[in-house]
Amino acid sequence: MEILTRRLLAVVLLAYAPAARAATVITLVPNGLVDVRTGKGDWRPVGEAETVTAGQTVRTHRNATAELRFSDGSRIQLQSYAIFAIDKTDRQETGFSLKMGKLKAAFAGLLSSKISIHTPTAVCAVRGTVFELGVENKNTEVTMAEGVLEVKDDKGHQAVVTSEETMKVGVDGMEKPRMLRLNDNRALPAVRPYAVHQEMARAATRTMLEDVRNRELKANEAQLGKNVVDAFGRRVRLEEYVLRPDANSFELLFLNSRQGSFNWGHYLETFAAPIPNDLSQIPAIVASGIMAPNQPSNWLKSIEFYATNTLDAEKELFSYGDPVQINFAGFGKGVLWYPSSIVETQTLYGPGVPNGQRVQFQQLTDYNQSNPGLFTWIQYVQAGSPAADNLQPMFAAVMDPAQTDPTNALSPAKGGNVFLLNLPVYNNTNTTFSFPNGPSKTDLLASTTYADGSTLSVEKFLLDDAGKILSLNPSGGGVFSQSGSYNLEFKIDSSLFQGRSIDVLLAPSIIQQTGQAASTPDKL
Amino acid sequence: MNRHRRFVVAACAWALLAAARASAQLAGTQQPTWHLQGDIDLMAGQYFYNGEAGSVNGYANADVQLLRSISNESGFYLDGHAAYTGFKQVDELAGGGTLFQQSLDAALEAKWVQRYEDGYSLKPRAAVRQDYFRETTDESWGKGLYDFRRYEGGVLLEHKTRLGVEIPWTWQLSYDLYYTHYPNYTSLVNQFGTEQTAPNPGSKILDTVSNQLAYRSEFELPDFRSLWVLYSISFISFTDQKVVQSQGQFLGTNRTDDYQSLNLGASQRFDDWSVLGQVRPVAALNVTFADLISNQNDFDADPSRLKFVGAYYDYWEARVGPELNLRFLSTGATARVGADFAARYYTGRLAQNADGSYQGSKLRQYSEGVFLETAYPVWRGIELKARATFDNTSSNTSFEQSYVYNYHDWNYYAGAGWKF
Repeated sequence: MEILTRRLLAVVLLAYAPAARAATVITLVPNGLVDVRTGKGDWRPVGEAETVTAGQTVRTHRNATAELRFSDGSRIQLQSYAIFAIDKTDRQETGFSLKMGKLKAAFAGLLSSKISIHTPTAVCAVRGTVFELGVENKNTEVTMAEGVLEVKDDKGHQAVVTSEETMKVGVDGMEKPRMLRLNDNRALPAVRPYAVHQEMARAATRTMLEDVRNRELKANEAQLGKNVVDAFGRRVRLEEYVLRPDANSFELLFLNSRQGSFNWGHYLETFAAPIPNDLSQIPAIVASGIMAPNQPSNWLKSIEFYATNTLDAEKELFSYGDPVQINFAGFGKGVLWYPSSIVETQTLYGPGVPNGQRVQFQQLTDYNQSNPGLFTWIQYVQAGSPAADNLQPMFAAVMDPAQTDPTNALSPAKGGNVFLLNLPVYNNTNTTFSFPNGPSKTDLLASTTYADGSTLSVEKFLLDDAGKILSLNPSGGGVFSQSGSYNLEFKIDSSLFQGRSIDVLLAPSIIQQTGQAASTPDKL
Repeated sequence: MNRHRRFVVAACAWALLAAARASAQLAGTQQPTWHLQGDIDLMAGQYFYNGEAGSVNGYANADVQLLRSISNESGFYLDGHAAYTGFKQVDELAGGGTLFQQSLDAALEAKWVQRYEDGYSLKPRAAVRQDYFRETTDESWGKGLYDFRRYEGGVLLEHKTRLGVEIPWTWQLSYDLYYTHYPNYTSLVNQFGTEQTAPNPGSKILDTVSNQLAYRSEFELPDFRSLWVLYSISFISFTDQKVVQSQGQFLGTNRTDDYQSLNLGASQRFDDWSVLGQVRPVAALNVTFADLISNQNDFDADPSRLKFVGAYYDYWEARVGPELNLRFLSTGATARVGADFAARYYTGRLAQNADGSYQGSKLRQYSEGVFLETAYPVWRGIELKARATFDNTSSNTSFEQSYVYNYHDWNYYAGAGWKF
């Protein structure tokens, strides 16, 4: 690799630097009577174009002009009655002298490191310039066309002269450069290439500032908005909003727009008392009512998860009773505050659902209400016909949270006492779990067939923004415990939805960081 | 809409030509001249984002100006620009790194130049710009969420004068108006307003009207030095973005931002180096200080955090960019190498851990970049070109649910350019 790099570098350097840089070649092209001499030698006339070198001087006579053409493209035009000497042409410095007369010069600026023209009263250092220079009676007049020129006088003063400026340098020093009048025949057109390049560079800086500012744009951050791809390769525009329906609750609203479809839903938490404006305290309030050592001052009353395709909908509602003290010795805990009841209700809505809506599944949990001193669970499911609403009890369980004797049927270690309330319904209600994209992918399909023949399935995906299904977290901690920039998608199907699906996509952290919400989709 | 656009373009062209004719008649002396100039680049390149390579794809850029000088007093020029970037890029379009697969932009500007005696000029302008972005390769052009169109108008007063005898001094005072419109970015709540009633964040929440005032001075100093300074302040009104308050509710007030920037630039040409057939070095340094103050806040909608952050967008930043330009005199080739270092301190936005929980510190973002570009003339205005850049961006926040704050990327591209 190193050898390759060296070779590449060598090739590049060779390309940029030919064997030797050619010396400056100056061609003198006479037009009329033009003389040249070397050093202090005699003048000789120049009949046709010839090469001149350092140490030579060029002289033009009446009605004659001469042009000096340089190998880098620079040109100097000598007017009549001019005497012009080529003093030096090495790489570091190219020097000329205008002893009398006028010239017009256009320098590319590449002849050598420094290029200068001396007059009896001034030294002009060229930067890359088109200008006129004249010497008359030891007075020098410089008129810039385009570019920049540095002029020094004998008194040690210097001035930088730019486009369309003119100045005089006499034996007493230099005058202040001034702009040419617009009607001066040396003035340039208002719009010309060099000036436009300059103007565009200046304007680009200002426009760039607007571009930079524009980058700061972002949707109001109360919404978590982004544009992603779902598990089925469709583009989804996602927005989320937090709302405060009343002082005791807050609501998270999420909206998905796909081509030709719109799905949305919400997540609503309601509390027993007003919640603070600073909603970052909410997780602590929730925790204070569930297995908490101290009596809570505020607690969660309900959680509602709702998803719809605008025709069909599915709702999960968790309702919590007021916290009571319960002895959790059977769980190795002490006396803690816990909701006196938890009611989970799953409701389906839509034109294909009997009566437009019906409860598909319900689970009632209470402490000390159905059975003194005990937890009681009862599950209800649909068990009539798919066209009717016939919710029937299926299963019940009773448990004593204080029971520490593992031989006792009511103890947590035994799982409590289980009662099948309706065996045919129990046998005909089946839930299966599968991984449609393989066991290593976060694509979990839970399908339930109810005793009445109706079905409900929820497929849950963890995706990146490009719609790629993620792998299961290898470090464990649950199937959907990924963290980071991922999205969670639910595709909900039911035999009661007449062939339509509900397909909602959320920012992942909403579910993964909220225990109650995380349990919701698993139970769908 | 297309008919409307064509009408606007035609009206602008007619107005320019009419003004040109009138001005020429008044000036009466000089024959108006047309001049066409520009440069076109065609390249291929590849992008690497956090070590992941994108496919080799194309890049094309064209800048063309049509100049018409009517007299020494007046003239105008039209500037057309178009660019296509076929490979991935990170563009901080939306307040954090947003990765776009492809982009396409085009702009057209008309500027009038009216000169007066003693170096004064007045330069009104009008422009329109259209940017398209594709976030995924299957997204259709014109459907990008962040596609935008910008209408621009402005006027600039320039004075070319001197600072004493020695130094030429050009100052410019400008006012520019920008209206930026995001046709595809409409909040979903408003799109489905009949379904939802509660939140009202606004509809076209990214659309802005920006009033920019700028002052620029530049000086040509002796010994091949130059210096410039630019101060700019922009007052930005969001036409339909409501301010969010501490409970996550939207106020009736629209968002407004103030953005100001101080830019300093200097360059120095040094004596030629007697290496590689003579090399001419020019060093440059750009320094920028900027800050943004906004009345907009942030409400983190995640139920596990639900955090209100005031002054979410406010920041100040410093940026330094040294640069070295080399011109190989024997071949005409050029090379440019530079770096860019920036630090941005948000004064309200909090840093977050990877799980989204908030840290006590404010968000800070740092970026470093280097670039190398070179051009080698082959025939007339045609050059072979190559460019490579590397950027690294880091911050004290690890949460990248919506936007990316920590990444590195590099790209290279090579091809040919034509200047005419």
